Amino acid sequence: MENIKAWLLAICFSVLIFTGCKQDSQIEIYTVPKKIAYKLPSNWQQTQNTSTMRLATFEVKGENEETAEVAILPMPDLKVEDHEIVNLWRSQLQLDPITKEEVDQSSESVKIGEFDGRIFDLTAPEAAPGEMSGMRIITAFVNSPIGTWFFKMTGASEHLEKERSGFVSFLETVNLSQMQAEIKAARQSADPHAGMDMSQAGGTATAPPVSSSTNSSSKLPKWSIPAGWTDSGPSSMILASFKATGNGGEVKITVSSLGGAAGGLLPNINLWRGQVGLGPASNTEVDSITSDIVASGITGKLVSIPGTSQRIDAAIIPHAGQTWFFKAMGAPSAVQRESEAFKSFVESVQFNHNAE
Amino acid sequence: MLNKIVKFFTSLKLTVTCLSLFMLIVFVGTIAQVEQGLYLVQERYFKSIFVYWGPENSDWQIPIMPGGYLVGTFLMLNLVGAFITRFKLTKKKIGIYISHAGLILLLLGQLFTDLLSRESAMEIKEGETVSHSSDFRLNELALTDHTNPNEDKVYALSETYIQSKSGAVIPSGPLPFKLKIKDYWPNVSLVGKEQEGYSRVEATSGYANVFLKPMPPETAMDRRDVAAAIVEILDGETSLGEWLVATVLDPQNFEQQGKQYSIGMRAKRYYEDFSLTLLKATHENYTGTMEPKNFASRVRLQNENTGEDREVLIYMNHPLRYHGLTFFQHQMSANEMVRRQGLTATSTFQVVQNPTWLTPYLACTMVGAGLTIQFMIHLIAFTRKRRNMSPERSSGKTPTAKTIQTPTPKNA
Repeated sequence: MENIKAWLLAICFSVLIFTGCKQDSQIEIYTVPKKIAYKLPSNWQQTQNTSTMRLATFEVKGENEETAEVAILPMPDLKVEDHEIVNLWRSQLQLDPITKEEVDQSSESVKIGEFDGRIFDLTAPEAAPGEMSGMRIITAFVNSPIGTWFFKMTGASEHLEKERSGFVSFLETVNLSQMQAEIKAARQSADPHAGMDMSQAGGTATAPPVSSSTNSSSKLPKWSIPAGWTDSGPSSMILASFKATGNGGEVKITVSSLGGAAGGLLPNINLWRGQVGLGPASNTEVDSITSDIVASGITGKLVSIPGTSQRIDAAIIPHAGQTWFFKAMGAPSAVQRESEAFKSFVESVQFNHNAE
Repeated sequence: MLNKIVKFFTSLKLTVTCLSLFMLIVFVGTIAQVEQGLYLVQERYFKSIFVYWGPENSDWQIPIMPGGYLVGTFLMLNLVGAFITRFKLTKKKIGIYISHAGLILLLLGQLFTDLLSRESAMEIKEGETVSHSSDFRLNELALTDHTNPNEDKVYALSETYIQSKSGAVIPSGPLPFKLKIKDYWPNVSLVGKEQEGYSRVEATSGYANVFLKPMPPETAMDRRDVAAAIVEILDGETSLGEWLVATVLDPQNFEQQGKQYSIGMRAKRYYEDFSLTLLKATHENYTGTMEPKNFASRVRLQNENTGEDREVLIYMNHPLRYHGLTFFQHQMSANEMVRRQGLTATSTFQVVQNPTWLTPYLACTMVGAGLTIQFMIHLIAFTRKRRNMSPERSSGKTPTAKTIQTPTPKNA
């Protein structure tokens, strides 16, 4: 009996020793399903983006080889009202602007991934000139915690009628957070320092200023910064920004660039007019509200848009297939104060011809 | 000889010694937390065989007292030994056996909690879907093959393994490349420009112009070490470059023979076969203060295997229990200030996996029940004995006023 008890004791001891040996697995190998940003209908094909504003562009082929285009446009910092955006597209289709109430009535709700968005269906009038006649834009947009996103389908009216259901089911499959992760990854591969965020997880590291061997600023034109302006650095869609302070308040100056004509002169002016609370201008007014400005030997357009509480001075310079936007925004008196400095800043711009 | 060992392990002296040593460890460990922080003390004093001491800035250390695991093992053996050697199934002592079994279960439960439990954090931005959590303390070096359009293949090397291979080459074996760990630091501070005490990181690929300073282990509860290493990737004998990896740096991409890879140091990840989507984060403070009043997260739980797709509200003291995991509302960054700045609201859950979470409850119930039973056995036996001893009971009479004489006060 004593022997049995001793053996029982020995077994217990061995079990304890065995369970006490905790080994960390050294190498683990596993697969993780990729998060899918969206599911494309079978007749959709991804094509080259025609603008840096776009996350992706798709070609939608019909039965008779007719094509339509779908673009995904992320706008993380957009601060404009729905009806202003709708009026921008309406102006592209030669349609007259409509009021906020009319916009609300003409839109329908749509599911964009997890979120509730709105969908607008706009068709150009038959009388519209040239290729605009019979054109249609179906646009969905969502104001989500992950920013504002636009999904725009452009094509012939009849073709879009058939493709509308495919577009709506595509919207349901969209995963906004995954798309945002892809934007971040793309930005990081373009600039290996972009992800150098030392502030996360309460680490003991202190944040270093971005120091890059492939500095994205090499793509920027050269300019001389007026006295009193301070550099506020780039952000998601902004290549460079400055602040000017003084009597009357602060003025924020931003530099951005978009591919191609970036929607054209009038739609951009109308977008800014919307931002300062003014109604859209018509095509005939463009010449009277803009003046010429020369930067780097290229003639661009300078526009001053004085609203009641905000004013925008902006210059639009086309260069090497891109459109460059220089924009000063702030209280009317503050922008007035900086208007000469802003003009000389734009005139000082020297595009790096070799870099393009 | 065997009898002597049995006698030693079953003696009451050993019980008293072990309990005294436990008191000492708890006392010294509690004092040491001031300097060393909770996690380090847990590792050094409680989850160790011996507690070591060595002079500062020297490599040698000597054991100065037994650690929690050693004392726990001896106490455990002592209890089990006593249980086995003195075990004689009698009704009279059943309560004592139940209490002892409860104590053994309590100790075993603690051991298995140490071995099997894990705590991690799941951070989700509003609108984001996440199916993994990250360990609070452990890190890993992740080499990921992104080539397959449908899935990523992850090779995760534990930090302890990287530490053990510092200065050595990890053969390719299951890995696509050989990895040479040129340097490893358990905690560093990184900056982007030259500063006193910092030296330039000599990495040939990825991040450039990074300056590094080794740091002592972090002792604050709300901060974690920034582990870093310089890793050279070798394809056969050809070097593909040297990368600085650190838990505060994003993974860095590289391409080899048409395949896309990334390498990075990160908190150890645990993937689940279900996902949570944060639909709405609610962060309320008491009016006019920064004191949190209510943290609540409305999440969507999706499990493709079971077809589940439902919404759950997780808030303070109301965790989600699912698949052996408990999701507690841990941190929240979704107040007015966050939203006004245009930042995305974020909610963090503490994810606890503890398969033995029931054992302390069960053990305490057993100890309580055992003691109650033992007490009742004694009480019943005692009252029976009293009744049997009483002369009235034997004569069949009940006590009357006459039989009870109250003492008369002396000065009456």
